[in-house]
Amino acid sequence: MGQFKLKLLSAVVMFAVGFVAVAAVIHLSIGNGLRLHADIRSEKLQLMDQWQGKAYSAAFGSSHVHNGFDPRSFDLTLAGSPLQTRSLNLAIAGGSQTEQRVEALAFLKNLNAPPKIGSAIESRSCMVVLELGAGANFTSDHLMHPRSINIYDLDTVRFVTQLTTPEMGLKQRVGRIGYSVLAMVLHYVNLGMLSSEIFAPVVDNTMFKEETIDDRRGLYSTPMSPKIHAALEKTISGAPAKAEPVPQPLLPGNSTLLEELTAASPVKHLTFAYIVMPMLSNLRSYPVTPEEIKWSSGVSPIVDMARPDLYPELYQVKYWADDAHLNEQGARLMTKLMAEQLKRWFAAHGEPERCGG
Amino acid sequence: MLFVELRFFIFFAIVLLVYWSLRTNNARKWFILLASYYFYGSWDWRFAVMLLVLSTGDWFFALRLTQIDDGRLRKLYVSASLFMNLSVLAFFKYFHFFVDSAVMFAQQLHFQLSGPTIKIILPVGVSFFTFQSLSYTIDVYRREIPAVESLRDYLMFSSFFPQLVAGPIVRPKYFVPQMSEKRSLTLDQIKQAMYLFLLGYIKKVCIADNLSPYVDRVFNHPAPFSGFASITATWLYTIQIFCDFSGYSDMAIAVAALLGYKLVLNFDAPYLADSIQEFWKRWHISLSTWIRDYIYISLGGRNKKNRLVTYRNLLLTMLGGGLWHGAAWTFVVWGGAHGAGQVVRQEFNLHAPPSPRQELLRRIVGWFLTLNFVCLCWILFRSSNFSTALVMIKRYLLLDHGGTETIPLWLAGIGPVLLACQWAMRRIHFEARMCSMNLTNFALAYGATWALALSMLPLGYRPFIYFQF
Repeated sequence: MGQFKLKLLSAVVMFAVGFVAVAAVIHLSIGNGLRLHADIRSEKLQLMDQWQGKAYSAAFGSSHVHNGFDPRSFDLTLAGSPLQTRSLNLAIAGGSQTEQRVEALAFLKNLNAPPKIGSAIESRSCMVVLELGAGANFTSDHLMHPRSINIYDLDTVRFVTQLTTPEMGLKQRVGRIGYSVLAMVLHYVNLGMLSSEIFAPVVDNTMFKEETIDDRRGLYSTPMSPKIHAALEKTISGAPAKAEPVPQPLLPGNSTLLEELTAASPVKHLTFAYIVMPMLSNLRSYPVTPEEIKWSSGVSPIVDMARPDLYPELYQVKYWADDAHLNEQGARLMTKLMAEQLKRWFAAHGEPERCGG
Repeated sequence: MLFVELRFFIFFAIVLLVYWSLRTNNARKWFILLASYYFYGSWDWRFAVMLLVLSTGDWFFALRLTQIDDGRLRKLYVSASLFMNLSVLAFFKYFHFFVDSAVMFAQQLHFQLSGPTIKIILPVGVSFFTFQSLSYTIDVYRREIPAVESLRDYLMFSSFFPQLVAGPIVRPKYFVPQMSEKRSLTLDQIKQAMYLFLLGYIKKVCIADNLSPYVDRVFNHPAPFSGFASITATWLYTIQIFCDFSGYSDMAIAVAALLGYKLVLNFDAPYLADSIQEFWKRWHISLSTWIRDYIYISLGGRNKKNRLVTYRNLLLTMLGGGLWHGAAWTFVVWGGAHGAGQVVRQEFNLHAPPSPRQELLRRIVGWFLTLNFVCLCWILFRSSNFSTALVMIKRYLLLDHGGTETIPLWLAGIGPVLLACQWAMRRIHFEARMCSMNLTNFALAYGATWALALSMLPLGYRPFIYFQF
């Protein structure tokens, strides 16, 4: 019996050795995980490639930013100011804090400082706009998706642990960290990663066209249907006279992300801003965030657009595609209001240094 | 619950743990019975109840068949069993097919009929377990086997979860005797089962499921694709269906083996066959022998005096085999094409008998023609309608160049590479070599292969193609 157990144990050990050795070889031989079977991320990566050296700012986040940040409106509003730039919308539907982190890192890795040509149309700032309210992780449906698995390395898990605080409920903390740890295991087991490399899906050209037509630079617009129109009217007319403010504290990860991005960028003097995107549910209750975030290299603004008390003009049916996403007209207005708020904030706190120094 | 899902792995680990810790054969059989009904009930518990009722009915009819000698009564009991099983199959699988065909036929005669609006859900594996039950009562009727006296044993045979939903179709004379003894396993048998499970997993998950999106893209909307892309998609489907179905069979055989039971071989490198007859001796063996024994032989089989009768029997059998695969005319025509292929081959052999000098050439040409004929027939099998099939067939025969859209060129090389791998693995007796390794080396190779297999997981799981049958 003793010999049998020893044999069994050695077989288990050898199984583990074989598994780990091959998994390690595969892992090391895989190139850029971000690009593996990126699904809807693929279009944004293509956009990033196309605009390399020509765009200096970008907004990241979930579908709320994807449908709500209009680079044309952003650039136009900031034109002539020290924040003048050329921007992209690199947000992705279903995106999370983890995804916006790796995408922003990829964007910054290839960022070039804007050339100094002394022209009125030159870009002066390199702005990274991050969504504050995006979920920490992907949804549980995405756990087994290569788009998720590919990015959950040890650094990502470390980042997720900073998106939890003791004030959170135990269930939320365990859920957040548990998801990321599970995804990390799948990441280091290379689940689906080799097949993603071999059978890479083609870029969704229809989607890419939607996101680039009329110089949208990544903005995705969903037209509103008459059926939704009626439902939205009902939501707005049925909202209470005064919405309830709910304080939303910042998490340690929000500031460490800015430090990480700064460290990863080859270009100096980046400008950061966090944004809270509006939703129609804000008419009942809205998050109240601090106006700025302090981090090791300074202070950055948080533009809270989810405030019906501050931006009542946004909460009209004509600006919405559904109750959580703006339409193209709404995106234009929201981005303009946000950019104006940024200008005011920087005017009050001191203008940022020119990107690249 | 699919064999490739995490929940099956958990389920099977628990089953193995409990099963081998039970001491008596009776306790083990009770446990397998419970596990099998849990497994089937995980799709829909109502179908598990249906399976229980059907199986109990067949057990009763078979028992009565052994207890009586009156020929007319015996016929009555076997007919009752046939009626019960075929009614279930006809209702669940062919109801819409018959109704839609009747409506279509009426419309051709300028009668306006509309079909019922009810939607019937197909119980998973219904074609497999009804055929298995039928073979049991027919064998008892023919006095080829005794009836199983214990209801528990019969229920276990008819619901044995490794092969319940997609075969291999187990014949009672092969399986029932195994149940009478307490099962045991040797280390070599364990290694062989583990090897087979991994092989099946690789075939299904790493090959079939990764190719499926390309096949779907072309077959769902073939119009814009080029002729070469269409041919490549046909080749890919040829690989996909083999890897999907034989992968399932391999895993089913392995799972049964780890419980100490042997199931029959279901695939034997069918794409290396050099004739259609040979192909059917190697493809879905448990079904082809079933339809041979219960349809072809029942129709009269080979008629030495009149070969036209033989051909008629062959064609009817293959048409039935086609209809078994799916409730659509494309499947019927697929079966008919295979029947016709066998008739043509037999006629050719009759008029040009093989000679030893031409043996090699004949085999090579035979293999090439058989493989391409099988590919052409798969087009009928995969296409959702005849117009799609026609477009794809024309392109396969180079009669239509198609559009401009393509799929990656390198995919065309997968077929030849896999075929060469299969040929080489058989030639060097790869399975035997793997299983004869000492445990330590086997474990090392096994771990390494699992690491590779997991990295080749596709974007999403796709159900086994043969589940729909």
